Amino acid sequence: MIAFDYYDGVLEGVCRDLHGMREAYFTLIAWDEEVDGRIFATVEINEGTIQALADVLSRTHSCPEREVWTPRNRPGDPDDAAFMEALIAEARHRIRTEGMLLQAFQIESVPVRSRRVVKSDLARIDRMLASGKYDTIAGWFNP
Amino acid sequence: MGRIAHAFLLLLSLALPQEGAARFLSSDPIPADAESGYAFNRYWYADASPYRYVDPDGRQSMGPSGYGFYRPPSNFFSDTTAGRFLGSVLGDPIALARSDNYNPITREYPGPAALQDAKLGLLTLAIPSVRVGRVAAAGIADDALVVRGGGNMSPKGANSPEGIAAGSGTHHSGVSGFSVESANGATLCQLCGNLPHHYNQVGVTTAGAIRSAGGDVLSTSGQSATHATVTGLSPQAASALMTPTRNPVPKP
Repeated sequence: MIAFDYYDGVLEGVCRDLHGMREAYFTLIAWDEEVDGRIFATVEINEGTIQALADVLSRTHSCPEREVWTPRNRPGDPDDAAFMEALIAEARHRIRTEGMLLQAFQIESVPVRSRRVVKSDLARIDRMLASGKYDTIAGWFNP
Repeated sequence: MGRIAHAFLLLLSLALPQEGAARFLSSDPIPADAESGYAFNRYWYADASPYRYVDPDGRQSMGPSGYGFYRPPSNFFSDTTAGRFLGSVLGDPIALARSDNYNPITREYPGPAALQDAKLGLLTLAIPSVRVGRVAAAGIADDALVVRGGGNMSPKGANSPEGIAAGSGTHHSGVSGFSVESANGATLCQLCGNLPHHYNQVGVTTAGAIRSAGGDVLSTSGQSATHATVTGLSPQAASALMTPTRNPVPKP
């Protein structure tokens, strides 16, 4: 797993073998004060993407010794930074059509709830991803 | 008395009270200052420094004149020219002698680079006519605020023992613990503003209080520049240290 953000667990990143997806991108979109109140949007990404990203990050960060890797900074090289940003942008775009929503406090945990992203979610997901802030979990799973 | 001997006596006078920091079992009714975080630890007596201050009724510490006032934590080695000089010479080499790297002179935890510099400094001390420079120290100081979002009343609150247990894990750096915001000199508002999620309530303590309880707080990479990890405490002990405080930063 390569984590882009971390607070009491990984908030955004890529990992292997996530709930049936061989390689996946995930990002937190909703969070409540209570400890089981985290909803992640996830999507499968092309196999080999994680290794390619690890190769890019290894140029400016020491090689990871642990499974969870949290680079403090994005790549300094403009080409490397562009690679990472393109990966995130493509994954976020694919969430709209192929994404899954998972409710779990830690992304590695067995989710409390899960379902596919549907059309009525899109405006809310877009708003959250554009703002960089987190929504409340109300209404995502319970009408 | 030689300078070195004097320095070690001063070191003893500073270090010994930290070992047995006595606390009250009930909290102080004086609330924390929302901006500075002063008095956030409501179990402290006399600013945790009974040799410097008095606290006649347990509510608020006072100076020798008996007049209550706010003072940031201070000590001889950081507040006086002579102290800074002695600290610059003896500072990090002291940490080399401790298993936990804590430096009671600078009140910091030197990073690996600083400790390496300190070793080189000791080598240069052994060689006449080589000038010994100031050894930089890194780490979160004892008086730094430590903030974690969430309440501690509900079992699902992030500062309850259950919430702290749920948030605990092993950071990529190898540090096991739970996430907080902490940085030297940062105010309560600044740290609350760096939380990744708006909490109505936060838990507040200091790095010194965590260390007095047997734990530690280490700067670790995360979602903000002030992300840190508290390690070495049970969820129950950590929850008890986190003084419930209303988040002074309004919801965006």
